[in-house]
Amino acid sequence: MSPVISLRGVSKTYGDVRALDAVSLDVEPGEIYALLGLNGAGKTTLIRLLLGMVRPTAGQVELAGRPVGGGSADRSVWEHVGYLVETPSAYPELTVRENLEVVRRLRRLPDRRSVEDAIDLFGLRAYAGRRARHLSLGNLQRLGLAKALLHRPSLVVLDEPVNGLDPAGVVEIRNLLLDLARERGMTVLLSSHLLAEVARVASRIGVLHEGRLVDELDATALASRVRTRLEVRTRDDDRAMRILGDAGLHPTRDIEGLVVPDTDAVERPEAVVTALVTGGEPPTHVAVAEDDLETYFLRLVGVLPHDADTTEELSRER
Amino acid sequence: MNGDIATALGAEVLKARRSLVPWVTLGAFTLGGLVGGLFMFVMQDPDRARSLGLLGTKAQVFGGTADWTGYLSLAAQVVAVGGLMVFGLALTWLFGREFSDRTAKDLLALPTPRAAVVAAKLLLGLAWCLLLTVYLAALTLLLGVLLGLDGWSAGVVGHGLGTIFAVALLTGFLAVGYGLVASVARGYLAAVGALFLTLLASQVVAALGYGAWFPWSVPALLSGAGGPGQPLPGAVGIATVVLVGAAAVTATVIWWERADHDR
Repeated sequence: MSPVISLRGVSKTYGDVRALDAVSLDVEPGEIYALLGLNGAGKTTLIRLLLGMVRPTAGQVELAGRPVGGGSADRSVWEHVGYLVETPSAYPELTVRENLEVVRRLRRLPDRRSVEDAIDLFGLRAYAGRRARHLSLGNLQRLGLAKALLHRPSLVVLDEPVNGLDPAGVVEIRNLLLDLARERGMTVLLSSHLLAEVARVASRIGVLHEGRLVDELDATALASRVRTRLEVRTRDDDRAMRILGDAGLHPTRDIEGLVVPDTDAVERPEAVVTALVTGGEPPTHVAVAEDDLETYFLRLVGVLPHDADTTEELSRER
Repeated sequence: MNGDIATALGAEVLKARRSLVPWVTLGAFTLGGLVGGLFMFVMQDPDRARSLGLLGTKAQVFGGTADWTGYLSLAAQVVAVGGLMVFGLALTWLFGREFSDRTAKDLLALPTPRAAVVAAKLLLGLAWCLLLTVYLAALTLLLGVLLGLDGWSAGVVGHGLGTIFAVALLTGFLAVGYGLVASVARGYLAAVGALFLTLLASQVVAALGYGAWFPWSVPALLSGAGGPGQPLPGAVGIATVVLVGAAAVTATVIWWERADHDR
């Protein structure tokens, strides 16, 4: 099956600034693909390229096997694409219903009920007659998503879709996206800087940094990329460090105690406990801990050095 | 394409209907019409003009006559000068609001072509200008009848109304340029600046005697705002206005189709 989204060596420069640098990626039908990156990594530029809003300096962008052009290219591809780019926007003097009606007309949807269906699907019934200028950020985001999904597209491109939503809204949108992908086979490309959120919803993740796709991994592979370490607390950390050093391990200090990154220690923590007890400094706390996703990400994009103990580095940063 | 334009026009009408801006432009034209009527009222009776003080003095600055010819000429001048501002603001709003409301991006990846969206905005702008002109013409006729102005004849009124609509059409062409500026600059401010700049330039160039060939002076000169000493613009002057309008339409479509929409 051919990919729904295909980018081949796509670059975009603005003067001397290289916003995207030779990015290639494929998104298969039914996938939820997440673009992950810091602010300014190139996520929005990539999304705008995908939607034909900006033209690539080099490379080719295809949607459903058809090249994406500017305004004059074949428009029929957009019948199947919904999108939400950057902050959600709406005509402030129009009501929620009228804003959706504008989209319905521009998308040439004959069925007027699509507006009411979207209002219900996104929990906007209570606000349907309210002017958009009086909506909270969360409800504006819901309206943006309703606009993106009004025509039940087979591909939806969402830039930071859970921005501004409260925790209940985040869960609701996450479940909705998972549902749409599983039940209707909808393909989703979303961007986010919220790693934990991405890990919950995406089937594949592409990490963008300074315009380059620096890593691409399945959600299941994410766990194998994060580092594990042994956290140890004792009553005398100096003495415990000496004991563990003598045992051939490489402990470092953390704010709350010691961190032992050695694989031996992570795989056999009981040996560490034995060494400490035998040395006369029994531990008060021993736990195997994983890097959180943020740490993994920061290490990947070079904000944290690859060989550094991440916990210590983060402690210093704080 | 016609179906696409009709689709986009439906959406544009819905957006405009809820806005205050059409009412503001209607208010401006109402004011223009009423001021014209007031001028006529003052000029009909010089004693009344003197008793009105400053307003009377200002009213007599207008070199026309207190009859149907003078009144319709005054209305044409309102359309030429006030219209450039009002029509210009309308076109500026139609395009600039998409950037200030950050909704422009929602118009770019749709089955409805961008050119159709632009065409719908321009058609709505043109219809808007036309309706305002019809309204001003009707208000002028009503006030003229109420004032009991002299000099009514089918020829005089036909010529006066013809001038008003010709001036409105030319002014509408020029107004497209402000929609282009609002698009390229992605907001209202530059377009409003361009509006004031061209208004100023039209006055200066007309004062220097070259207004008949300067597009932004042509509608005002055609309306008779230059006074009896100024030659009316000929075919060349009118052609420059049409060219400016056509170039603005083409450039606006090309910009929406081909520019990098990165904001």
